[in-house]
Amino acid sequence: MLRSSRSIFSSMLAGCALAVMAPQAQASELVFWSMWNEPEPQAVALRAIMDAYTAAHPETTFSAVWNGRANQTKLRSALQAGTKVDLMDQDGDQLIGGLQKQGLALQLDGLVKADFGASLLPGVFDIYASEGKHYQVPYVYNSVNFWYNKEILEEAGAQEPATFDELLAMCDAVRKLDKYALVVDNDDTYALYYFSYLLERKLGVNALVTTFEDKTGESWLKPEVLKAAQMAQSLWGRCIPDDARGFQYPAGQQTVALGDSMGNLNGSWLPAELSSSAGEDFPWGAFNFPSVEGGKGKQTDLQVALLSMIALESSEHKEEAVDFLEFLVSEEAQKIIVEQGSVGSTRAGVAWPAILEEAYQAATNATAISNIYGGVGINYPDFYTTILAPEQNKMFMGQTEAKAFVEAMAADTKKYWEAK
Amino acid sequence: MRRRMVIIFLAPAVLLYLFFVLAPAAASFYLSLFQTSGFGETPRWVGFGNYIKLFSDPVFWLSITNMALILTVGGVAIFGLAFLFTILINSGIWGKKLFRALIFMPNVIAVVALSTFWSFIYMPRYGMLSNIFKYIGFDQAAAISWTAPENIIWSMLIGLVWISTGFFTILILAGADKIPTDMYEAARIEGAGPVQMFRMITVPMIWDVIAITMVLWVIEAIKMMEFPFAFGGPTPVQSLLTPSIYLFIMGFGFRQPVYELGYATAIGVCMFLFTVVAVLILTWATRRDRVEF
Repeated sequence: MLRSSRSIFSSMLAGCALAVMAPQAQASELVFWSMWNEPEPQAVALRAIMDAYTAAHPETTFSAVWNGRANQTKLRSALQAGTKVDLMDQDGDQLIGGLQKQGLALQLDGLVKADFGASLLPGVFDIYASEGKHYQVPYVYNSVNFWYNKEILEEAGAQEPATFDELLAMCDAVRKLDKYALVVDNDDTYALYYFSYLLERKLGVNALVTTFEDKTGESWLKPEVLKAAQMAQSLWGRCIPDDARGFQYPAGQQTVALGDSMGNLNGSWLPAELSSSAGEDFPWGAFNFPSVEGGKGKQTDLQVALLSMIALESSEHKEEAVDFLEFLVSEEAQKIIVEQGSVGSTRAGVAWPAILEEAYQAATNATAISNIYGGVGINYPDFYTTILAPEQNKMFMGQTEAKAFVEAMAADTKKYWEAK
Repeated sequence: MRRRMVIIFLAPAVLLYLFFVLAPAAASFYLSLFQTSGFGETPRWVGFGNYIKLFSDPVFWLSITNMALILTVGGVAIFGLAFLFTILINSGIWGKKLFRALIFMPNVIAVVALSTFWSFIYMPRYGMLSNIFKYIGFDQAAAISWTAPENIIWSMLIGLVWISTGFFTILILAGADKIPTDMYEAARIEGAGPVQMFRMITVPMIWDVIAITMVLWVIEAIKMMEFPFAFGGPTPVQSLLTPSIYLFIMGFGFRQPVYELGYATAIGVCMFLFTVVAVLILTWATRRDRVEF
């Protein structure tokens, strides 16, 4: 009797223990390192998305570290020190050359649903794939378009241009108002928008990368490359004021907010960046970079800078991390990103904030997408940073001739590949 | 016994110095012999490969040229102004403490705020300089783009001199304040002016202070980063690069994912060597018999 009571008691105890232990074994806390600072609207949106996920999956909670833009670099040191991180986010192009290149990002193929990419806007899931393997889930869409003041365009009696010649005509019309249609800031990266887009319109998507990947350097000497450089230079004085050579970021783009310039070729983050100086009721409009005569690239091809989240290969909660990544681009989560983060969504069918409506249409109708600044910085960041961007800036700012620029690029490209 | 006590008392400081200064410095030199991204992959031994690559890297030499410009042109301007302020402040003018505080003030303001301030001064069209020139009718000067790529290094240098002068003035003034006043009184009776007194009394009497301030400037100039970096905006143009900024770009994935940690460390080692050589030369060049007073 006593033995039987003992065994019943033992069984009950074991049962209770299992009951207590079972949920503990399944509970997991996902550690997320973020590129946002905590007060930023995008961070607020991500916090809301994590809360929504936890509400649906009470066993999964999040511990977020808001690192700001140097997130990947900070994570580099932390990983070396043995810190356990499950999820992180950063610009997609920076991730390719960083964690993804080093094999520290979790490959998602086979872990996400087979049709996962189909739920996203055209090209989004594939743009950061390496040799067909996917690692990133882009969750914020930034596109590079001309952002402009609609009232000035209307006052000038001009139309949104579809071709480069129409762009020049638009510039002439705006000049009659004693204003300039376009403005730039003089740093190395922003100046590359024009040349890289012109080259892609001349030779097709990813033309800058393919030109650079010709190890002989000869591709730089194609007439189309020289023409693209000359067309970029031709904008000065006609579309872009000469004194813009001295505009240090963000002085140039601020002239759009002040109404002294009509527009700026920039990322779709520009209206948010200028909101405090331009005001909430600024009449923003956006149009794609125009096509060029005889060019292979289409006016509907788009340069983008998507922001991605990845799961770390070293994560101890891979299944939960991947499940969260799928949730991140669900309709529910992406609506939160749009509403609270005021940014573009990567999911098809989720409308962007009203101020970005034209950029949303451009993204939805994009015939091809390529990486911001022509994409050379992704796989060849050393060449991009030390040679291409500074030399291109000198050319664009008129310190060197277009011909001298392409010849220097041909020589530098050959030298680069010979040293590899 | 005395020797043992010295060792015991020195040991904590020596151990801390070894652990926190010498060991990391040695580890940095060792790291500079590898090619590594710093992401935890096995570093690849390249020996002096990073240094060979560095010495044929035109961007590195551009950064060295900029550093030399800051060191020499900036140094001459800073010490010239510091001496001038020392003469003026010690000439018995009214409000000595007020002027000293005003000259030192840039040193208590955040570098980012100072760089923004200077950007506003130089800004084309809306900037202070442009508007002053327009107001006095110098339209050609008003149209100059002070921050255009070909001018930006000089514009930055002017701001840097303005920021740095106060610190070195205060050091020189502190040394000058210790000189017995009867020397100046005697010189004044003999008919010496402020410049003569500065040249014949102040400079010789505080020569050791001047030599130390010059060493401090050399170190500061070689590792210069904050002001040119903040002045250049989010991605500074290449004409503003200093070795420190170049090190940061190459090692820390600044905007573009360049993670060449071994190469960046080699830049750091070169900067250390430049500092040692420059300080040794300066110490040799400024050696004098010490004046006791």
